[in-house]
Amino acid sequence: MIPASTLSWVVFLPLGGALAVAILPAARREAIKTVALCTAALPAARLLMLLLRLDPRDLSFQFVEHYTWAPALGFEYYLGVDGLSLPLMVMTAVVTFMALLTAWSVEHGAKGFYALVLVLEAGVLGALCALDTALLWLFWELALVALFFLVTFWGDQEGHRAGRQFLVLSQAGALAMLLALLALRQHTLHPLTGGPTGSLPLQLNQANHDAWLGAPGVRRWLFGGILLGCGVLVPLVPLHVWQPRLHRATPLAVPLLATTVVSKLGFYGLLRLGLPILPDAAVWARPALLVLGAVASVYGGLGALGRRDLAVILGYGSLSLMGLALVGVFTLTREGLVGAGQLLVAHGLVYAMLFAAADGLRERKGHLDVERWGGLFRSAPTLAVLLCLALLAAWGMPGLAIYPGAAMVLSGAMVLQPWAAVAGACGLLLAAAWASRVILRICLGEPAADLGEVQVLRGRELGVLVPLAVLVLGLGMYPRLVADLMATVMADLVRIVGG
Amino acid sequence: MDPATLLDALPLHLSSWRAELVVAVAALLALLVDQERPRTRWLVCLAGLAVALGLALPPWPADAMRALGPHLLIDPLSVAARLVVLLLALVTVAHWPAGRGSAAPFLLVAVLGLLVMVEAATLTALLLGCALAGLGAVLVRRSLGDRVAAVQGLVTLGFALAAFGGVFWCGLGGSVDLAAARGGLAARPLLPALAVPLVLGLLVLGLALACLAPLRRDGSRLQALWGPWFAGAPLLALVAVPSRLLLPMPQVPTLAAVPAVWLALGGLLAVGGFTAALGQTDPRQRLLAAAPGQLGLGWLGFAVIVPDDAPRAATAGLLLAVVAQAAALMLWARAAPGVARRAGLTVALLGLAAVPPLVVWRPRFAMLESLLADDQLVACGLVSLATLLGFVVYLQPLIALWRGVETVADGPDTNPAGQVLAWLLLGCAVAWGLGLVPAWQVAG
Repeated sequence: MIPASTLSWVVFLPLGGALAVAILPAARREAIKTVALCTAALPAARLLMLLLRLDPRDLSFQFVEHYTWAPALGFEYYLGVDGLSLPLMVMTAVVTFMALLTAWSVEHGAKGFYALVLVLEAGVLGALCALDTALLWLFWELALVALFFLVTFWGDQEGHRAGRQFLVLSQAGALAMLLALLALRQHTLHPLTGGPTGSLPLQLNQANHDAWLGAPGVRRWLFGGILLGCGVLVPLVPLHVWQPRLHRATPLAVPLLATTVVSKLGFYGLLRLGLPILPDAAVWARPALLVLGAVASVYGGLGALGRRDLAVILGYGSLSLMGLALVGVFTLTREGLVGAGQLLVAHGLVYAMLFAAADGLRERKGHLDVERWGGLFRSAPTLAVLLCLALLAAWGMPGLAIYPGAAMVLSGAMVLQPWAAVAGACGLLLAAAWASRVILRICLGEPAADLGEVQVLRGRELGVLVPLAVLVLGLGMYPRLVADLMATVMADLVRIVGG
Repeated sequence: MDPATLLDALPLHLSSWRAELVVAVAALLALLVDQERPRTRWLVCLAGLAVALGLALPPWPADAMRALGPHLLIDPLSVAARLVVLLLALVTVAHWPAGRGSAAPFLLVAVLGLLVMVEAATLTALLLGCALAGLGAVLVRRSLGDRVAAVQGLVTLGFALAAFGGVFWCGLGGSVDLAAARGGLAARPLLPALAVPLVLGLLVLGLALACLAPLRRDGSRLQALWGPWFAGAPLLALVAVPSRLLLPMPQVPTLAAVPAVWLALGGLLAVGGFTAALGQTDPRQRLLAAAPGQLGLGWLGFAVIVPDDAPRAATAGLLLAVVAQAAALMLWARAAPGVARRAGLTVALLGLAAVPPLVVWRPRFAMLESLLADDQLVACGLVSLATLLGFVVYLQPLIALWRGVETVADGPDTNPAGQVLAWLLLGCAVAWGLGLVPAWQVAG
C-alpha cells in the first residue's frame, strides 16, 4: 500500500533536511553530513519502492496528489509520476546521494554546501513530478537558484564568472519558458470547470486555439520559449558557455550535479511540455534541433580531445552525449525517443561515476591534469579499474550502460536522418578517442616522478563507485530495465507528434 | 447655514480616519517639545505611530466609503496602503537612535501627507497630500543633517507639475472629484486623443518628482536611517493615486492612448531603475536605486485596463516589495555580522528578485498572466526584462554578503529595537507572499 502523500514526502524531505542542516552548528560537521546523507537516502529508497509498483503500461499519471493551492490564480498542488518521470527521479535521488558522499571532503562552508545540494535535489524532484505548470516552474526555479549559489559560493574567480553567466542565461530561459506556459494556460480547458488551467496534460481549448493559438507563428514562438528555458540546462550549443568554467572552478560534486541531474530537467521539459503541447512546432523545429544535436555531439567530442584537465574533458564528453540524446529526441521515432530516455538515465549514472572517480584523483594530488598523471593501475588498482569501467561506458562499449541507448538513438536516426546518425556516431568515435587517451595517460605507464605514493581506495569512495558500477553494468546487460518503463509514454509521444 | 445641517452635509466619519488624526496630533505634540530634548520627541512620535497603527488594524471596511466630506476615499486599497505606510514609519523611527529623534515629527508630517495622498478622492486632497509629503521629506533630510537645496528645488518643481496636471485633469473632466472627472473625460468624444495622456503624464511625473526627489543620493552616511521609509512609502502612494484616477477605466476613444503612457513611464522606470541599480556597489545604495524599478513594474501593470487583474497584481506586488525592501534595508544597517541577519536578508532579497515561493513572485506571475491574456506583449517583454535585471540586482549583494566581503559604507548607530521590528516586517511580507494573508482582496 502506497500512502497518498508519498510524492510530497519525497519532495519535501530534502527541504526539511536542508533546514535541519542549516540549523545545526557549523562546527558539528559530522552531524551535518550525516543528516544530509540520511535525508538524501530516504527519498531514494522510497522512489525505488515506487518504481517497483509503477505500472509502465498505464499512460495516466500514478500516485497522484491533487489539491487546490491558490484558486484565485488557478494554481494547483498537483503531483504524479509516469514511466518518463519516475526513472529520472530515481536517478536524481541516487546520484544526489552519491554527490553528497563525493563532497565529503568539502570543508569550507560544508553546512551551506550540503543544505544547497538538498534544496537542489528537492527542486529537481519537485519539477519532475509536478503536474501543474506553475508548480513545475516553481520547483524549476528553486533548482536553478540553488545551483547558482553552489557555483558562485564554492567556485573561485572563474566560478563567479560561470555563476554570473549561468544566472543570466538560466533566468532568461526560465522567464521565456514562464511566458510560454502562461500563454498556454490561457488557452486550456479544465475538464471539470471549463476554465483555464495549468494542469498537465494541457488540453488546449479549441475555440481559443483557432483564434490565437492556431497561428503557426504563435505556436512556434511558444515552443521557442520552452526550448530556450530547457536549452540552457540541456545544454544546447551555444548556450553551454557556462559549463566549461563551472567544471574547472568548483568542487567536482557541483559539476556532477549540474551535468547529471540538472541537465535532465532540460530534456524533461522538452519531453513533458514542448513536444506534447506543441507537436507541430516541434516538428517544424526538428531539422534545426537535429543540427544542434549533431553539432554538440561532434563539438563536445573534439573539445574533450583537446583538453588536459579531466574535469573539463568530462564536461565536453557530457555535452557530446547530450547532443546524441537530443538527436534521439528529435528523430521523433519510438526508437529514438526510448533510446534518448535510456541515454539520459545511463548518462546520469556513468558521469556520476566519472566525476566521483575524478574527485578521488583531485583529492589525492590536488590537480586533474591528465599529462601529469600516470601509473594509477600500479598505485591504486581498484580506483583504476573502476575509472576504466566508467570511461569504457562513456565511449559506448557494448555491455555497459550507454551502449543500448546510443544504439537505439542511432538506429532511430538512421531511418529518417542518416546524416544525424553519422554525426552521432562520430561523437561516439571521438568519445572512444578521448576516453582511451585518459586511460593511457592516467591509468597506464609509470607513475610520474613527482607523484609519490597514491593512497588506495577508501571506504567512502568504494561506497560511491561500486554501487554505481553495478548499476552501469546492470543497465548495460539488461537495458529493458529502463526501456520498458519508458516505452508506453514514448509511444504515446510519437502518436501525438504524428511520427 | 445651521452647523448641524453643515455636519450632516459633510460626512466626516471620524472613526474611519482616526489613525491620521492621531498621527497629526502626535506630530504637533512632538513639535511642541523642545528641540534640545530629542529623546522625548522620539518617544512621542513612536507612541503616536504605534497607536495609529493599532487603530489602522482591521476590521476593515468591506465597501468603499467617503470621509471628511467628499475628500477621502476609504476602501481596501487605501486601508492596506495606510497600514503599510504606518508600519514603515514605525519601523524607521524605531530604528533611529533616540538621540536623533528631533527629525521624527517631520517624518510624521510626511506620513500624514502620504496617507492623504493614497486616500484622496478629490484634487484638493491630492495636492494637500503631495505638499505635505514633499515638505515633510525635505524637512526630515535637513533635520538629519543632509544637504537639501537641490532636493528642495526638485520637490517644488514636482509639486508645480502635479498641480498643473491635476488642474487640467479636473478642468477637462468638469469636476474636482477624481472619479467624476474620470467619467467626464470619458464622456467627451471630441477631446483630442493625446490630451488625456499628456495631462496624465504631467500629473504623474509631478507626483513622482515630489515624492521621489528626497530619494536623491548625496553620498550621505545617514541614508541608512531614512532609507527604509523613503524607499517604500512614496512608491505605494505613486501606485495608489493612478488607480484612483483611472480604475475602473471606461473603454472610450478619449482614453485609448492612456495605456501607452503607463507603458512608456513604467518601462522607462522599471528597466532604467534596475539598470541604474546595477551600477551601485554599496548594497544599501543598490536597494534604494532599485526602488524606482519596483515602481515601474507597478506602473507597467496599468498598461492593461480591462481586465483589471494586472493592476491589481501590480499593486499587490508593490505592497509586498516595499515591505520586504524596508526589512532588507534595515537588516543591512546593522553593523554586527550574524547568520540570522544574513538569513533574513537572503529571504528578503530572494523575495524581491521574485524567486518562488517568496514575497513578490505570485503577483509577478499573475501580472504576466494577465498581460499575456490581454495580448500586451510589449508590456510583458518589459516586465520580463525588468525581472531579469532585478534578479541580478538583488542576487549580487547576496553573494558578497555570504562570502563576507560586504562593501557597505559605515553607517550611523541604529537602535536594536528597529531590528526586532524589521524581522516582524519580513515575517509579514513572507506570510503575505505565501498567500497566508489575503493580499489579493486588499489590493483589489
